[in-house]
Amino acid sequence: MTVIKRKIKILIFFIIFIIIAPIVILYAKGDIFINGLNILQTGGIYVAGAPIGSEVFLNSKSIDTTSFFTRNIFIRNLRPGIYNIEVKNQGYNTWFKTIKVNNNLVSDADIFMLPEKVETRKISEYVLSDAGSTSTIVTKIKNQEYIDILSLFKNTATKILKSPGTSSIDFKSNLGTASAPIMDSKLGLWKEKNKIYVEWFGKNETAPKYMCDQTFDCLEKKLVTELTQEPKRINYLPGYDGVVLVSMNDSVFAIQIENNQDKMIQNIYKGKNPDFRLYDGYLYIKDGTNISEIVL
Amino acid sequence: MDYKQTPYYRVGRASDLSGSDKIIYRILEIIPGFLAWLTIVGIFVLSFFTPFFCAIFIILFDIYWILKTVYLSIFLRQNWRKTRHNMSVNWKERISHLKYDGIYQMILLPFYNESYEIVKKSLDSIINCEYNKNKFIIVIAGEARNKKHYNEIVKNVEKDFSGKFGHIYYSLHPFGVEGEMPGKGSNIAYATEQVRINLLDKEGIKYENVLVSAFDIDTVVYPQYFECLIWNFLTTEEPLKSSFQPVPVFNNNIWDSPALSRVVAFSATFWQMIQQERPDRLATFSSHSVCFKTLYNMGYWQKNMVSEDSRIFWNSFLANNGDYKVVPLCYPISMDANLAHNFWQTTKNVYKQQRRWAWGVENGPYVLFGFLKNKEIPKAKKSKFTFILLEGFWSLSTNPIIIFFLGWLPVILGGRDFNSTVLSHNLPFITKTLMTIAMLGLFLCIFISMSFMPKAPVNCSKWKKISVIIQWIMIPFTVIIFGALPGLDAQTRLMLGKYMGFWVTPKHRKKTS
Repeated sequence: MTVIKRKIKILIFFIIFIIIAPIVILYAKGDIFINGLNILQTGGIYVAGAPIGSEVFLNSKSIDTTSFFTRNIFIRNLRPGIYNIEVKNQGYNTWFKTIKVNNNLVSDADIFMLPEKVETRKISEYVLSDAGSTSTIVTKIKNQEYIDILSLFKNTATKILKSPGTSSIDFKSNLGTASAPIMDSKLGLWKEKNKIYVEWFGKNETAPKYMCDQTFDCLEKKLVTELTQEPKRINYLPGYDGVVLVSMNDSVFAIQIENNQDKMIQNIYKGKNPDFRLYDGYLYIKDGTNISEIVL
Repeated sequence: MDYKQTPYYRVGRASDLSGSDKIIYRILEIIPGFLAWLTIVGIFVLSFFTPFFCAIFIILFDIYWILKTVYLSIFLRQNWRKTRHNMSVNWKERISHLKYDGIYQMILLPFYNESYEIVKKSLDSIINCEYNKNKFIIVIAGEARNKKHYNEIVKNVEKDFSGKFGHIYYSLHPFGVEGEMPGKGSNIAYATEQVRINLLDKEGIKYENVLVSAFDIDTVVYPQYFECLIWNFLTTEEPLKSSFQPVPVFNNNIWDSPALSRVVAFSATFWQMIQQERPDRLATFSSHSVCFKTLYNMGYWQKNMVSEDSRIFWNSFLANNGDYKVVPLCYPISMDANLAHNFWQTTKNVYKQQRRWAWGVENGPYVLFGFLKNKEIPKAKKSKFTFILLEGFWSLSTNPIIIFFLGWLPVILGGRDFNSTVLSHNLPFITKTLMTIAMLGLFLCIFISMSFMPKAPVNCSKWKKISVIIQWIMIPFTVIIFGALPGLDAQTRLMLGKYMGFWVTPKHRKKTS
């Protein structure tokens, strides 16, 4: 190939670069062309954390479905405005949120979906025990696991089980007050009558997303929700970031801390007078004499 | 200006100079490594402090990379067609109307501890060539530090090849000569001078009538290599200001080599093929040929450095005030791909060989220093080669790392402000998409590599046959581990003044090869 031919090729590739580069950069920034060469700045919504097989709806229109390979969905090229995101999956509670989309920014939709019917493992009060290999007599004895878990529900209990590890979640009978909030790292949780609050005690730069708006103007203290009556107990739902666990008179439910007014309540247990305890990352619910471990 | 007469002509490293020259040369040694590290560290710093601009840079770089890939693949395809064509040409017929009877072919076969089996295969390939055997001067060049092995090779060569070539000359390069670095350069320079004194001068053979081919010991030539070489030598303008470069194809033992070694070996071949299509950028590499007269005038290969194969070109380029070129032969020669007794050793050898090739960066300061000292070379030529050299070193050591590794850095280090932007979310998507498009070029690699594969041995498994196709998915891995990292390693060593010695690639072949 002659030098001139090569120079022509280089020139052609240079021209292609000059044409493609600004287009790709504008697209990457979220700017799209409308009506010819007019540029419209757009934003997006990042849907994360939905179970596999969840269908994502934007303003009631199906957008995509999560799969093993695409667990998270990025909805691009959205004109600034308010959008309704709904995530549905058979067997799960439907998740929804109203999200504001701004120019060149991405709003997060952190999905929190519990199964409609939460799996439980009942802890029996008694177990059967045979007296020995030669005996045919079977006796009914108190289940040690039941005794141990039951002791969690006594307010005086501090040392109950042999802990296999330390839990970051306070399992003791701390109800959480403004002066002594339940701490998870730098996040404090407490209730005042029928209101549940969270407060961030760390630096503004490290505050969780749900404490901040899209421009990262973060609140120190935030009202999680206002209930119709005072909850019996509150805590963080183990294994989930930014989800509060609440027990009321006849139910235990989870509520996601949101940076807007949407408050989604997802039921975990319905009964007569349930209460819960957390130990080492496990959630136990006691209703009367029945104790169950909640499998999340 | 006769650059050959200056003390700079044979400089191996900064410490060979003194005063301000030493400082300047040392700075030039630092530059390639400094540029590479500046880029890598710069991307980390930019990702942290200005992730937006870093992301824009990465997208622009991705576009540049993909266009460069397409651009270079055009040359690859073109050279492949040319090489295939040249392999089908009857070069004997083509040179029949040229006057070449008086031209001798001096073949340098340097070795250190390689087995006789390797030497024999090279000599057998020369025997099988169609060129008049009486015009061959075979130079078996061993090392005195392994004299016993040298004696064995000599004995075997005598037994099998005595009387089959015009001349067979045996040269034993002495050990521990002051100012020399043990290696191929010092060995073949010594051998060539010995041949001149003891053979050419005694027999009255004119220097301009001898074409010297400096081969590696594993070089296997195709039947009409020497006819092709002669044709190019006799038809090129200014043959005495030219070196001749075949396409090195590392396929002697390709069926025995692991996939990793094959991919790296073919990548090196592809790069040489691309360079053959850009002869104004081409420097000699590995096995190459040149007229003895030119070689004699240049003082043979430099003895005090590692990459003598490229340095002989730069020596000639500077000595001829920039008026020197490499003629691409577009004709292959076969060499060994890396193969050791086990996979891990092969992997280590591949890395070490790549690092030795990347040590060609030592030519950078030599050439740039020469440009400062030799005022006769046109400024435009100096600028062009300065750019080509620095861009080449920089690309080798940084581009694959930027593309496959650092491209995600703004997302990781950019902080939550940046991570809430559309740009942050689009960056991995765009990078991934562009890289996927670039990977389409692998089909070309598969196609061309298959065309250079020798016939599979009878006992070759089906899996092995399939693996020569699917091996190419390793490219993102090999281009970093056996491309960028050895490049960065070599440049960093030069930057820190930790000079490398000559590492002899162990040659190993299975019995089936």
